[in-house]
Amino acid sequence: MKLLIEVILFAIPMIVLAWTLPKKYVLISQIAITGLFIAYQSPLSFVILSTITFGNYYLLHKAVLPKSIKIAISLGILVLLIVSAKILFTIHDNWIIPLGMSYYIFRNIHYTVESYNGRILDESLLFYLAYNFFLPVLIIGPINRYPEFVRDWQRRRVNNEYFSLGLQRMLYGVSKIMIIGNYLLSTKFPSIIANLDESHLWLKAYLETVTVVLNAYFQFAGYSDIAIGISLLLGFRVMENFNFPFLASNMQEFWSKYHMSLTAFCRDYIYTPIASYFRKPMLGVVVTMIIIALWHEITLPFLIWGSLQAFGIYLAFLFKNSPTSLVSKNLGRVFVFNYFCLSCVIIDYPDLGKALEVYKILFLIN
Amino acid sequence: MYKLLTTYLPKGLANITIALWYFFLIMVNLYCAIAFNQGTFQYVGW
Repeated sequence: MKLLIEVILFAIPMIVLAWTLPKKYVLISQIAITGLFIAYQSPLSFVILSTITFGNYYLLHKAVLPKSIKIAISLGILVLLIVSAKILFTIHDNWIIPLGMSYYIFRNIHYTVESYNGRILDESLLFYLAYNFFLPVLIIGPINRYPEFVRDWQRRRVNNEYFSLGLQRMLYGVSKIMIIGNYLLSTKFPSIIANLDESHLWLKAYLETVTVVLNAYFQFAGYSDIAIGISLLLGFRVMENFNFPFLASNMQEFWSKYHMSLTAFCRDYIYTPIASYFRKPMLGVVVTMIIIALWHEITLPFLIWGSLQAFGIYLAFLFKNSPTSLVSKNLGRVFVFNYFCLSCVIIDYPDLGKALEVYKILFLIN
Repeated sequence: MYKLLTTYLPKGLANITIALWYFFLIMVNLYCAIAFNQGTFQYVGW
């Protein structure tokens, strides 16, 4: 049943084989099971992802070209692939984007850049395949890093603490999705909100907005927990993706705690180069947030959403030297929660007109 | 959570408490999965 259960079902033999097979066959078994999973879900995705993997590896390590040319071609193709895929799949609603492609491309961009920087110490095809075909993080992250992946593999041993923590994380992850996301926020609360009297128009609109954002958060955080849990059971410690983002007291802090693997990726490969080259941190923030937004979907609502996030971070820059107290910190938390929820209205609705209607209700404009 | 429990409770009682807590979570998860037929993850496709 459904993708979540299938990920767990495919992970079970992977975990068993990871601790029963001789070490030299473990990575091969992980690659094979992940390959089977992708092929089972979508044979076309398997072909596309395999082509990208082998193509990029051949280009980086086997092609006889100057290093800078190889890196430029690799990055050019990867960026072109993700941009064209996003545009094509935005135009054709009925097309299904290859499974986990966005994350897959990001991992490959990371590999290419680190390869250019000389930080890829182990260039074997086996590790590269195992890194790209790693089931827990395949579909929706976290965007794990290659050097950490190889380090974890080298240090890997039976660790009771990892097993215990892994199972606990999986249970909490499933609970976030099933109980909080699917039951409370998708079934129970919407019916309560729908039964509210029509005179409570503002309250209805506000609660609907909050419910949608919280549902997205718990679904996503839940899956990240499951991915981290399965990785721990396999002996790998994947980076965290969320760190209580709604307790952040400004938008800058919020974005360092929300979808952390993506923001860390964008900080390293987009923000830092731009901010340090132009000596303008805010320019880096604007470009980064707009790229993060367009990475979700190349549409006008997402462009506006990204700009709003950048503006939120700009406000945090403006007030960064103001004195902090417990009251201001808690007021900041209320602001961050509401600012993020309200900014998400624009991407929650299929057309801008409907979103504007909701904004009119929320801001009490007749 | 286990560390927190063992700070305030004897180890045996902490073990039983945490086992009951996990059992409770598993049961509620199963109930939600069966009762609402929504054993799915809603955000796939990026």
